[in-house]
Amino acid sequence: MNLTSALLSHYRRHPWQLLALLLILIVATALWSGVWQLSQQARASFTSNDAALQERFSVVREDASPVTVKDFVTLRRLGFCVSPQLTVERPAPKGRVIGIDALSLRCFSDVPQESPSGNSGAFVDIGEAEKLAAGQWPTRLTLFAPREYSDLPSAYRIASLFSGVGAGQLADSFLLNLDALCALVLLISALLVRSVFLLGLAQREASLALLNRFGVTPGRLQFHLIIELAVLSAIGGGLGLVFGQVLANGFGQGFDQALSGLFGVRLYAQQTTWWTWLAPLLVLILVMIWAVADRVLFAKLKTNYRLLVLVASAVLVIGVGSSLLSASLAWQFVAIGLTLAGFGWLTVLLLPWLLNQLAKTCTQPLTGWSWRELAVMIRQLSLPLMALQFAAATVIAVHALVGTFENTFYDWLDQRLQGDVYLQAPPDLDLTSANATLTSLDSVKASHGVLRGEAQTSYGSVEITAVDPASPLLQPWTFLASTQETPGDVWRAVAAGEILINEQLARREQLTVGEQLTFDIGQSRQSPYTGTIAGIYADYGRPASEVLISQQLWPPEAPYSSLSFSIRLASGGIQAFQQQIEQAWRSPGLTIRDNSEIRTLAVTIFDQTFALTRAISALTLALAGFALLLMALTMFGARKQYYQKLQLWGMQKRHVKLWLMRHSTLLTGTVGVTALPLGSFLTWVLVARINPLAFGWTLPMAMFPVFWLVILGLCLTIGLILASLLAPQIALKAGRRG
Amino acid sequence: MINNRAVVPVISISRVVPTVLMALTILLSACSDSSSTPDAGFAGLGETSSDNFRQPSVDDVISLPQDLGVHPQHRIEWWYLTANLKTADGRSLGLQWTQFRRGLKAAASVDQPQTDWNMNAAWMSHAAVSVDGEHRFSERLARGGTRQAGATGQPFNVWLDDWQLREVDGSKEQWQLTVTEDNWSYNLLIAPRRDIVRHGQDGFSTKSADGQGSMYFSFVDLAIEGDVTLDGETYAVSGQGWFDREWSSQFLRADQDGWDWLALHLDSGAKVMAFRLRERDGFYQSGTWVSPTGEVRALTPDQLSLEPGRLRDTRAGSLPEQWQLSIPSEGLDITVTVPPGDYWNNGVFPYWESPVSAEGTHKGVGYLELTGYQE
Amino acid sequence: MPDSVVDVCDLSKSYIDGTEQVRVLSNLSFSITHRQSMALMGPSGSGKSTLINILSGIEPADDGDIRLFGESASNQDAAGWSELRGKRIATVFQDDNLMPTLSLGDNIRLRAQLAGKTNVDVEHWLNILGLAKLGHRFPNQVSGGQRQRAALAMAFAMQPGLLLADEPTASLDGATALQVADVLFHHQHETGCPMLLSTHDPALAARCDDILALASLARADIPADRSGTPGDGSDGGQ
Repeated sequence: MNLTSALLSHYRRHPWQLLALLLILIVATALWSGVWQLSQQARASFTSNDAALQERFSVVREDASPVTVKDFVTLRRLGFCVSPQLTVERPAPKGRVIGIDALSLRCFSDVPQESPSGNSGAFVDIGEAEKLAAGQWPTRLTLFAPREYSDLPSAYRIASLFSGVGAGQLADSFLLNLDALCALVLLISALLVRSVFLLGLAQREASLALLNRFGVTPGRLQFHLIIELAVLSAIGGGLGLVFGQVLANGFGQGFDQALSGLFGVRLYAQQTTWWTWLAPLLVLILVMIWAVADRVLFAKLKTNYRLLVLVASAVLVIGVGSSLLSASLAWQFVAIGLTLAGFGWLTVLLLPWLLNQLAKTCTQPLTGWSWRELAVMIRQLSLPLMALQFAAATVIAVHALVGTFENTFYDWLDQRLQGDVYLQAPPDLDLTSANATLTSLDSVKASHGVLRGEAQTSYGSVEITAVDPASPLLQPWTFLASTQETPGDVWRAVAAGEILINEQLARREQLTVGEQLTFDIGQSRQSPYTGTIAGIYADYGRPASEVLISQQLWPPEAPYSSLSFSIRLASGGIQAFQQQIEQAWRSPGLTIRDNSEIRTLAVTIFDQTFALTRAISALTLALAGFALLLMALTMFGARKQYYQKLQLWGMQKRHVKLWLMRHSTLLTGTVGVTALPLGSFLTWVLVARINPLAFGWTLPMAMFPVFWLVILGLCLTIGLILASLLAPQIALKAGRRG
Repeated sequence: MINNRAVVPVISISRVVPTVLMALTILLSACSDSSSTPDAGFAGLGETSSDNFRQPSVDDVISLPQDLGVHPQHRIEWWYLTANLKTADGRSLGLQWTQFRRGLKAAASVDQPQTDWNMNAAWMSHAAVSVDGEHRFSERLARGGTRQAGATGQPFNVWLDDWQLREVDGSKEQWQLTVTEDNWSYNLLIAPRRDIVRHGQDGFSTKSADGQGSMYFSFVDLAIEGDVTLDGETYAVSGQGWFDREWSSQFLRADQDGWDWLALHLDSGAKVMAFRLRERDGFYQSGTWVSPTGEVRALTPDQLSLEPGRLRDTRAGSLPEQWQLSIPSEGLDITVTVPPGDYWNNGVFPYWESPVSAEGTHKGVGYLELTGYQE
Repeated sequence: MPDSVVDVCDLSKSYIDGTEQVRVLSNLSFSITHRQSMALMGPSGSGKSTLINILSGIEPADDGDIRLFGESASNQDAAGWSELRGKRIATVFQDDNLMPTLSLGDNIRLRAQLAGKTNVDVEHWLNILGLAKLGHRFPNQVSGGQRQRAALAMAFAMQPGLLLADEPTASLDGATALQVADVLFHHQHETGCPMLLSTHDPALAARCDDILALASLARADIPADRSGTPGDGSDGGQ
């Protein structure tokens, strides 16, 4: 029997251990690579579609009649790159279908040379869409152009499509948090992998020592162990990657749909690049090296408990300190890692110590045994317990984060989608006459015009928006800070000449309510205006600084960059309104946005994204729990004899089982309890530290104590499952024969 | 020529198919109810005709001008121009323009009225210019049914977007070809100097020993002049060209995975076309000899020999850059050589299309097309 | 026999090893009376541990009758066996008799508690077994001999009706083994607790009142009813 087979004989005798090792490796790799691929795909899609989102152009007819297939052919045969999109509006629940022509789309250079996959999402071939509509649903043909052609035939002109509810930075912020989640999952996976390795090592300590005594040099043993680990990792990691891919694909379908609608981003059917495979593999190798390095190569290093506690505390202090003090985004992420590592490490170092102290004060030997047994379990399962703790903290953080985003998002949506329709006035239309026309239309119940332009301040150029403070559409606004009691008072102050600024400006220039701000509308520096800041409003998802004033303050001669209206319709619907307004303004081809439609669409899509994110984090928890179960099952082989002993000493089996259950639920329950502060801290860093650093605006942080109970309940459930899995092992068995 | 030369370079399944191709395939399969197997042969050229498409037969007759237009009863067809030109300062310039049509449903079986966007065919157009070893290629795709792309025999007109080959009014027959790309374009006047040559048996060109084939005729002697613009610089060019017209419903037998085709203008005034279809065991070959005076002789497989010589390694695979062509009955034994350069047409279906020169018992120039070599 | 603490009659036990049935005990009969110590001898595989397992209710017998403390134990359920093990039957094994997470004193206290003796004088038992001042030590902080003595202390502290000792000195060196054996026999005498002691050591066996010798049984194909053949030690007994 050579050394290799001697070493491997361990697994021949304990095939389940081998299986458990492989399973944990598979789970860890699948988790990390799956989440990583998902977020990579999302990121890549955002990046590649960013440009396309910025500006979209369509070709419309000068005579305002809708474009047809003939116009498409005419333009193509003149060499213009245009591509048709046929939107079919089917009533719910079937929903909207968008038909495209992948063949003519090829001349759009910013559209990746991939087309939507055949069956996913709402995109179909335009011929299919036409067939679906079959004359019974309304359709709308749009001819997209990749750029603003200046040489179109005279019958056509370019119309710029405003993107409506492009979530911009709000989406970026969400993705950034997805990155943080991804990093956490990596940490969790690393812990699981390391725990597998240490477990294997611990289990064979005796046989390794024996081999050493038989004259096998430690070097050879190390070499064999490393090879064995490499082979196991290759098998487990390889399978894990495949499962991760499956996971990502499964979720990807949902993710794809989530992203496509709101952001116009598609995952393009989960393209796999070498990088998506290589990165998790590299990470796995790094984790392996980390695991191997300190235990195999420096096995001689004796660890000093006090030193460890000191180091862990230092890591925690540095982590928390960095997140409090550092203004660097990168450091904030490092701080998260340090805080987690320090906290988790301290937990598994201090808990056994505490339990042993507790045991010392016990007069009841059984209770003392119980605390000490628990302490041993925590020490032996420290890595998977830490992983479970991180996973629980992550779930708590993600839940709070998603809740925060949800609230914010609906506020933000309400703010932007006021009225029934939104209408961009054609250039050079005068506000007063435009208003007059609108008021005269019988299809309009109320209208609210917004002027936008640029203003110069001592802080540089800012965006300026002028509204009618009396408009009922503005009354529901909420303010982050204001000098007034009620929003109504704020608007009255604005009517009286005070001003509002957005959070971005307030943060950037450290302005607060009650202070004065001087600005000059337009380029001229002739008539500066100084106003008191009456309030600060949240303006999520935009980088720009903004000042909001009453329209009365807008100098008649000052240029504006856009004039738009939020309109409440009286009757007759959008079609009637469109006809009337186009006639009244003598401006065919106006783009009118149906706010309720967009709101429904946006809400549906964001809900999908949120649900998906929650699912990913829940999956993390489930997998960490699963890994803990596997580890505990493997570990328990060495502890079960003490439960058996109690039975041998006459304790009834059901009582022994109760003790076991107490231990397992205490184990996971403690993890859950310690995860609460960690999760809250994590949420706080993401919302209150990272987001302002990255984007210049905060999200109002929400806490969900009921959800904490859910997490605790989940942890206890894992404990109960653990107990029920371990229970069969404690049965008294006829061990010895002869 | 071989089955649709250009359009059909063989796509091996193992190749990572560009997603556009996927889209195309999806579109094609979505729009036809047939149990078609798009993987058969290159680009489905080995598909059996199950959608009531007509398979050409020896009894089919070629008649102009209608056969210059669309054949809705047939699944596949193309219009194919290659030209060996020279610039005013004597540089050789090769030029290709091809338009392919792939029917999705035979016209007779279309029972629903044509709507705006119903796709009855997929169109593809290729244009390439090769000069000084530099090869530029561009591809356009269009859905049939919108008239974004199409072809008519009378007046002769083949177009896709603003790329167009069309008859121009005048006393003598003359065509104009315009192709415009971002950084290059060409605009040529083309005059046929001889009557068309019908390949095979009165235009029925056999493609395998089993008798599959296509209808195939060529204008073998075209006088060409015009302008080619490259990166803003315009060159006057002139020279000779070859125009192929071919249609069928199944070109390839399932086991035929590629072909080698060439057409040469010999200095003697003779023209020669030869092709070889590579089969699992061996190949099927054929050709046409046109004497300087215009007599046409179809060459049966045993009347010619077309052998690959030296290989060239390219980024997409290695392929023969030299060919030995001999036709004993005509005393022809020449070596056909590809000039330096990379002549892959990297479209949805990549294939090799390069100008060539011939040395040996005869001298000449022409074009060589190789499909099914990419790795 | 009213004086009998253990009455075993025609006890048989076999295992399935793979596809083969291996008989380890066949028609074994013997009794142990109050104050009696009986050595259980036999080569490896002769069923010594099996017998001890059966008598402590860890595994069931295939056939035969067992009476413990004058009552039939053959149909005892798990709870009944727990009760017996907890209050009346003490077991001492070769090693691993203690909870490693409890001090020697707490081990004794725990065992006594489980036997329903809440006011056990731990110090007394520690002293008696020569473990004075070691009560606060943990098992890994004392020697093997001290561990076995602590195990004996646990057994005696619960004041059992029967002591089952399975090679209690086998893992100790000669001198220590002797010390532990001295302690064991001394207290067995003192308390009069009947004892079944399995051992390989003839010297140890000789110190017992009686010896029950088990022979290694051949395969099951040997007729089991031919008593006296490779003897299930039916000749043992008294």
